[in-house]
Amino acid sequence: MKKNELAAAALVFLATIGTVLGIFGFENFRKSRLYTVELIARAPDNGNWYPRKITVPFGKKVKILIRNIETVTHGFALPDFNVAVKEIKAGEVVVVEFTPDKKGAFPFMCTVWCSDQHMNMTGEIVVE
Amino acid sequence: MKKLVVVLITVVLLASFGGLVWYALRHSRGMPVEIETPQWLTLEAPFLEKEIDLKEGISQGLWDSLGAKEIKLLYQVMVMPWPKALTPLVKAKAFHNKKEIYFYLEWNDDTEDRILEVNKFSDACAAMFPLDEKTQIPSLMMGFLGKANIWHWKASQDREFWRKEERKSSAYADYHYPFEEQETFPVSKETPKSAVNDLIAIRVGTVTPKETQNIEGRGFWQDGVWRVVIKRMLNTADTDVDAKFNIPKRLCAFAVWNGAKGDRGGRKSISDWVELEVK
Amino acid sequence: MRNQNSSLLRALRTLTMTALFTVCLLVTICFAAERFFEIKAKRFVYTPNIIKVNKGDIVNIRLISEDVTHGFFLDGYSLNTSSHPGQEGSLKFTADKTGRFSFRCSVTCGALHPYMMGHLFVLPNSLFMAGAFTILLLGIASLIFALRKKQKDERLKLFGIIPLDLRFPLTKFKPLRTLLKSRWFPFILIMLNLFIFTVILLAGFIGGLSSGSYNFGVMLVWILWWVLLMMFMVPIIGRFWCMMCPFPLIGDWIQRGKLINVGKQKSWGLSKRWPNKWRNLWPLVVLFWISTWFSGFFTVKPFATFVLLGAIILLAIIVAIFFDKRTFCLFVCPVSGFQGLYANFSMIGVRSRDPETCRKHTLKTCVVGSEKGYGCPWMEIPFEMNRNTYCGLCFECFKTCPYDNMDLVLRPFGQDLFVEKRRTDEIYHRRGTDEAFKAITMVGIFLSFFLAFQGPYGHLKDMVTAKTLKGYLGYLGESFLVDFLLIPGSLLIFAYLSKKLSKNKEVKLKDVFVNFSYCLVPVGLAIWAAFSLGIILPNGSYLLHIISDPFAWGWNLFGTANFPWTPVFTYAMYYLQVVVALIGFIFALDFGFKFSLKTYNTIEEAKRGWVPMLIYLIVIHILFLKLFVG
Repeated sequence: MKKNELAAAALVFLATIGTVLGIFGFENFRKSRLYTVELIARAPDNGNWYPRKITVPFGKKVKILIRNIETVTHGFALPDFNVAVKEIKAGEVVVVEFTPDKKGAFPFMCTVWCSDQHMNMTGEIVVE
Repeated sequence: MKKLVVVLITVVLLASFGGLVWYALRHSRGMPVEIETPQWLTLEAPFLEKEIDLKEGISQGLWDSLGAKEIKLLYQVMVMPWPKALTPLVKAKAFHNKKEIYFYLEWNDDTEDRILEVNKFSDACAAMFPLDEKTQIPSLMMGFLGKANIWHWKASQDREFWRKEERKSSAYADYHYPFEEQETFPVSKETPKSAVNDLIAIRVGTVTPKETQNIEGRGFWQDGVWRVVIKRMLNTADTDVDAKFNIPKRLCAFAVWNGAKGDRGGRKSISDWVELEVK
Repeated sequence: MRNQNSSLLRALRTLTMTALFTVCLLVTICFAAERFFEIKAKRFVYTPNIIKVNKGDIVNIRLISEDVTHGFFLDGYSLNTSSHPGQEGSLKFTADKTGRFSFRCSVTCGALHPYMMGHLFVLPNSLFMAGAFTILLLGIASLIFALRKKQKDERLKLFGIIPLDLRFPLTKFKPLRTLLKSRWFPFILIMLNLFIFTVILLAGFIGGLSSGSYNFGVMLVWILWWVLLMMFMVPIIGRFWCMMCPFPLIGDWIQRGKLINVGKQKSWGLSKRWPNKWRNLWPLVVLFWISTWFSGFFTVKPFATFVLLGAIILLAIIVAIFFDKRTFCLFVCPVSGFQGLYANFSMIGVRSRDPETCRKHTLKTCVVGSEKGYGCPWMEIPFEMNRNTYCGLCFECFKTCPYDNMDLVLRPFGQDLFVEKRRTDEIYHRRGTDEAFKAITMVGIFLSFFLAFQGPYGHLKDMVTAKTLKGYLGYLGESFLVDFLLIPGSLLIFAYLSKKLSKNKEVKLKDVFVNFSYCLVPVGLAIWAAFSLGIILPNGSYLLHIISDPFAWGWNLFGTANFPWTPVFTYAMYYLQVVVALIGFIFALDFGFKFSLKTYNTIEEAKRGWVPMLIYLIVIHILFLKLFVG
């Protein structure tokens, strides 16, 4: 009978704490392996891009995971490297890849009118 | 004793839940960051008892006495195609003399591009004034939702108008992106009435020249810098299609084209809204 | 001569009809116009929000977004366009299908995006006319059936065919009985749900204020669970959800000291008894109504869903350590009220089999518990339980009964609605005003929700989301007026007319009112099921996305993360809604006359007393029809 109780308690912990730990563990592992950086898209009213300044090494392929955590459509443009995502709908997650072939600071911005301060939705990629 | 334990459990549960809620709220929009609320730039147009006759020049000395507002420009990326290069900054100044209003725009450009040929485009700049009193913000996109009056100065047109020189080439290209028809057709029908086109637009792709062209302008390039002056009567009769300046604060926006980098039509560097204060 | 005349007349009549018909046809063809509409979209309303065209017209629509990207999906025609601000979208089609079609936003544009819609009428609206005609026809048929009745039935029969007191014991099958007697059941189902709810809470916690459509928590609770509950679980298997609900788990563990084995019979904690005057559905009528005040905020924001569910779980634990047993489930859980009431309609129930066995059993372990299980945690009396309202299907009584005298029975719809008072006259065992008001308020809440969330009215959406304080108070006021004054008031008036017409002076008006309000049980179930159709068919495709990417992190567990938003069966949806509403109507007609027979003494009184209620039911159903397709 005691075994039943232990088994039941184990199930409860597995279903709750186990699930939470498993999910976070998996996500951290996945992110660290697959992407150089995770970029969150938000309108300037809600905090703008995060991080707004991204530093990457010269010559190494860069993979950016862009997540739109808002309820409006955004977009992503990095004209200096000809990288674009025409629209990133609310909740969508996209990946952009490019290999930086010049050094300096390059602006990226949103391509879909998303808020009153849309023109202010810009960030910078610094290649060293 | 039991009551105490029960109350304690309740308090602990409520407190932890409260903590979780507070944490979730703080992170409800991702990593919490400072939210900046940038104000629009204000460009002042003070009253000066001066006049500029563009036939003589652009009166650089007069302009040097006025302070400039540095307006940041961004790649136009909302509509394809995009420009290939960015002009990051334009310096703007303005004044009026109760009869006319004058704008001065200065920006860096490595080359002076005044000739239109196959695959060669003109440098240009423009000022846009929404016509709707209650401007809706998305109408930054070419007068969307409420018309806009656009004053478009082109270096090639400036050359034609002020020098009245013959066209160097009679070739034309018929491949172009939409909205660029007027840009790539160098064979013009008549000599222009001004260096600045007086246009009206209600959204992307609807730029139309007005019946009456009211604007004068002139620009000079020297050592990698363009300096352009545009002038118009302060108040015009037809306020339906002409920008009004009798409001103390109104919105305007600017754009710059770098012909050497292939800028034309939607391929330009644009500014955010700027507040124009006519003193 | 006469024959010639009549044949001449007939020929003339045929000719005239043909001519008229041809003219009508020609008119329709020749005057099929080309219509142009410029529709502005701004959160969360279209302007114009209602457009009307005629069948055969060529419709051109220009979509202009005024603030952020919006879309335009037309139900029934399955056409889609969208526009960013600064650009526009366009549609052109021939309106060859008639009826009322919603056009809804197809690009997430903000919090209330799933509820942003307008109406396109393609006239003539034949579905509405056919539906109204059917309602009248059914009403007349019901009246004819009623009037032709000669005497009261010995045994009530559903639709005159199936005896209402029929019970088929499912637990006749040994495997089922063994399952129900195991202490691991329903624990194992609760574990599964615990896992799912952990993911839901986590998704809500992480999701913050992001798009609800791409959040596991929001989608599972408000699309999957709510729809399953209203369309399937409650009408057919009663309080099945209560059986596998994970919310009381921690409370039970604390009270009993054991998770799965049998521990304390008396709850640890203060173990207070819920006061007698509140041991009915009244607290839940009020609590559930209050929870609908916040409906504009909950169902679309992950954070709000997290707070709501977290608060309910917290409340469940706290109530469990202050009060005894499942006080929370019985009198505090917001979902409990309508589940309890509507479970009386469902097809299953837990009942004792042989009353003689129970009479001989003095210990009554189903009530006090034994080493095999707990005394009924829902504080019911299993051996004489005759209604489903307060039974949560926990199956402890199966485990404690030494004679295996408890059965899980299959029975016709609505059996419990007709049980009479018991010897003990406990409130559990009879129809009452509290349940009447629960049925009434559920209809009223449906009206508010349907108009606000599945309607084209922007100002209603503003009111519900408290855009202005005045608007929000207006919504609360309107909700109160409809739920507690308008519907019960109108029902009272018709109950009074019924009593007057029956010419019975002794019957209490309150009894007439209460009995007839139970007609609103099948009606409520049907309209909520139809409401759920309007949720699941357009938005069900989101579920495919969230099972692959529950947190909008870029996962793709099952390969369906990029499944686009795909409304399904949007043409059939309207027909389905009408059919479901009609099914509720038919049940209400059948039950209603039976209630009339129960309320009044003679059959003649019952026939006369039925007429006003029949008219009431016909009127409200035409109103519902107008909401769904008119």
